[in-house]
Amino acid sequence: MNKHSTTPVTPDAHEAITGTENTSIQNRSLLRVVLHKPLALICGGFLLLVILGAIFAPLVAPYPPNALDLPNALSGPSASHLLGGDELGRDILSRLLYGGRRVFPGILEGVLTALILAVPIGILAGYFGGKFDRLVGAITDALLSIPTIILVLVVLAIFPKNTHAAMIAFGILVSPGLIRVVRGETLPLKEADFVSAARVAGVSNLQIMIRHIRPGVIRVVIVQGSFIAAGALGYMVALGYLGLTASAGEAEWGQMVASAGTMLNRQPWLLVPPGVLIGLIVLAFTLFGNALRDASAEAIAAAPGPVSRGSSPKENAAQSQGVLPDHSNELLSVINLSVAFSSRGGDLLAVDNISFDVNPSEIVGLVGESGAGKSITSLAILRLLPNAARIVNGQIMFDGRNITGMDDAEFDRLRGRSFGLVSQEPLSSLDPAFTVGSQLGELVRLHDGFNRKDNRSRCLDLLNQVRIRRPEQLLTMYPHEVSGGMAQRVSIAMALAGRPKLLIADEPTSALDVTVQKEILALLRQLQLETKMSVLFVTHNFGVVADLCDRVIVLYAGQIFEEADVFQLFDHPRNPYTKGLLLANPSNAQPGQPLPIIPGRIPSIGSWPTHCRFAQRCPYVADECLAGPIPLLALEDGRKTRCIRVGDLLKKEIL
Amino acid sequence: MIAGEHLLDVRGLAVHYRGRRRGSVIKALDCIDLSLESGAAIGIVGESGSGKSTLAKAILGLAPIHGGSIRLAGKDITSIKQNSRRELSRILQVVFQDPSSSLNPFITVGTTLEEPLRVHGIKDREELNQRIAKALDQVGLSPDVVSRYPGQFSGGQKQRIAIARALIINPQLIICDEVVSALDLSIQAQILNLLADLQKSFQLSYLFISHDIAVIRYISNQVIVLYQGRVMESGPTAVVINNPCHPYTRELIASSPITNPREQRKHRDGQQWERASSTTFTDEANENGCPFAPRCQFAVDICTTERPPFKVTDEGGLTACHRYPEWMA
Repeated sequence: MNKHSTTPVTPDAHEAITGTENTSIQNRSLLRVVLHKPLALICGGFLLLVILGAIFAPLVAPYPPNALDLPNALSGPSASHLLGGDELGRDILSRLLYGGRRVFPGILEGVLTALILAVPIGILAGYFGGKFDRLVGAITDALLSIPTIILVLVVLAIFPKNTHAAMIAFGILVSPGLIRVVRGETLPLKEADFVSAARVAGVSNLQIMIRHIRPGVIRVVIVQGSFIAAGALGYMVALGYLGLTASAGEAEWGQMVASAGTMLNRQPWLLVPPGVLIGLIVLAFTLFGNALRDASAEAIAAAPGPVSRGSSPKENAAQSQGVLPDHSNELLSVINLSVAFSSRGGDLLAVDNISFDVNPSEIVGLVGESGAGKSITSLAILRLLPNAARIVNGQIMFDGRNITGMDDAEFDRLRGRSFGLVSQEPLSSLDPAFTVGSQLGELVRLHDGFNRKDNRSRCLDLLNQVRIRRPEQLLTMYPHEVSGGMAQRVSIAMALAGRPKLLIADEPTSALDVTVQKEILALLRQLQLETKMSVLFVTHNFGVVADLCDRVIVLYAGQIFEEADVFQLFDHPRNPYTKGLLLANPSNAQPGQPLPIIPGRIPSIGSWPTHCRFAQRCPYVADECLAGPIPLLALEDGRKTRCIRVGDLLKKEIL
Repeated sequence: MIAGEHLLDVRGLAVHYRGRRRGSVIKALDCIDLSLESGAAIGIVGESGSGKSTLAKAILGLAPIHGGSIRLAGKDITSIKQNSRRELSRILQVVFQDPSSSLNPFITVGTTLEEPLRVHGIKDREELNQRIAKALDQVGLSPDVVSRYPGQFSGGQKQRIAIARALIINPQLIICDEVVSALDLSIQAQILNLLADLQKSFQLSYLFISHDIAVIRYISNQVIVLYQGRVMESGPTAVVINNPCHPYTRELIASSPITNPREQRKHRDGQQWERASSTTFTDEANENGCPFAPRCQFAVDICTTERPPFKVTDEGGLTACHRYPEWMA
């Protein structure tokens, strides 16, 4: 980035580095995303076709709408009348095309009325709140309670046969629902930091609403608008059918349905063309609205950049080092594990050929920055990978058994008894609708099948084990009533309910205050001593690793970059990445001196280079680092590092 | 601005929110004093719920102020209207914690950076482009990012854009609310260096809010330790961190793990671990006493009945502890 590495790099090397970078990300407008969805394309195309047909009806319709052709009355489809003729022989296709000229302006009027009312009122109500909001709320409630048809009858009594009046009335009547939607969208936007930043910058409230709130609201409103359009069509047809907005015999879809109804016994076909057309248009509006909703969610998300995909599993297998020793002594062995996400451009590797062991009673730290693959690795072990991800290669051995090959039922029996999971957000692992006691009790019942009394005493034991002072009281409390630290203790108790041999802790203290973190770490340490379980501790925090772990595995861009005993790792890191991370920590720095930084950022999944993945950011990069994949080298004391310059750098006393 | 006056001066600031129960009041901030000189950085440290972010909001005019005063560059800004904020924004800017939420995802980076300039009447396309390119350069981004949307950037890059937006109007004071907490370690170091560089280049002042004592130690000259809306201790950063004079400050510092296993293990084994008070039931804070008293191992009767006055410590800081200095013996 702004400070690129200053160590000499040959011109070749530089070229290779920039060659792997990919910054050409396309802007993704809503429209462009929509056009990539086939269903949206079909619906949009169909609607466009029907609307164009209506606009150019005088040009494309084979006959005038009211041209009588009595011999062809009730004829059914024929070469001269593609959709047949009605009871007076008038061409149905032409009448449908001309009918569209009344329907689509009506729909537009209805939808526009609703939008023009709802967007400003909804934004104002949401943004300012208070009295205005309450007033708007009262009015919308009152409007919602008026039966639509009565109001429309009143309007049509005042303006007989006036479609415009009827559709504007429709727009007013549907606006309360839309106002609520807009207001609901405005509330979170109003609290967003970018609005605060604009207010601090002195941007006026009006400008904030127009520039910052409106774009977010509009996306939702467009979606709602297409649903309202579908409703407006049905409403128009109904009014026409009742003869409220059209006279008998007019080329109007509702009237066409009505007269087809009277001819039902003589020629049922008459009902088909208008019925199918109306049905298809309603369907198209609705599906198009759904596609817009999906697209608007995608349009603002980060554009994925599937450029160079990670090497394929087969290549990886060829790269893996030597013969793996037998894994009978380890509790957990991850062997050549690769996990991929399926995406539009094919599979993207997130974890690339990782092998490591966890021994009985050992605490192993899995450290890395976001995007390193540490959480995905732990989820793969627990079979909790998200839907888009799957294990593409490798084995996971637990207690001497291959758990990757197990069927789900067998694996379920293992879960809980063999592994426990403690996750980052303690409250998200607790169901807010049930008391702590009932949730913990359920787990105990599952594992131990106790009667009620034994069950309760086991629950109390577990809560005592996690050092909760008044466990009886806690059992009757709901998750929202307990503090974050206590919730984390409860989720640890739940993980312990099955007496696991391995506890997988995924950033269990990252959401907690340091004073609470200290206590949770102390608790985990004590529990490990008492139960002799193993712990796989996933974290980004080197301070936590220093506190708790026996052995550390450093991940970078889906690969193991270094593995060492915790003391060795911190005292003598053997990889430039690890060393860089330790130095960049502000707690080791002198105030006033610049922090020794690692420039650039971790390459994102899908754009990993084939050579050393850290080369781009490494101050010691040389030609050999860019020549090809870097193997994980075994060093003394069972240490490993993925750096082919480790010997050199040691000699030069850089590492 | 009168010579010798501080850039930012906060006296007896109180922010109250209505509680969930009828008539109850939550004192998010209670009697906060702070002053910040031009070109200096003051760190605000505390746990969640300590009122750190409320303090930022109060200064930015985003929180209801119940009492006290805030003066910025010699002007009382305690209760100025939104319209007058415009002038203020030439001096005061903010960067928030979560760069994803502080940039409007629906508008381009260029439009985002333009807005503060337009507010101040700069409408000339040429000048706008020039100043945007300059601000982007200052934060280490290339000028061609202007046409992209925030969703296309990484967290660190978005935070750079947010800093560029704060910088573009050449303010004197930037409030940094947990600006590096959401970032990876290697990116965090880049942003801290950037902030330090900018401070030197432009004589910027920072009000730097963080829960991470290591970050505060690195970036700020002065520090204020908050707990439940009250100041526990304040003073020069090195003094407060190396020799904490309030039991809460000591606990906060002792709880931050040292990134060295040998030192960390020595450090933690020297502490008492049997108490687990902070994660058990939260006791109602005592209105009259010290809010930390229920958790404090040195608390005596007076700590729950009488509000501790500030005492000047031996090294020139302030501590709000009845038991200072005898608890340190």
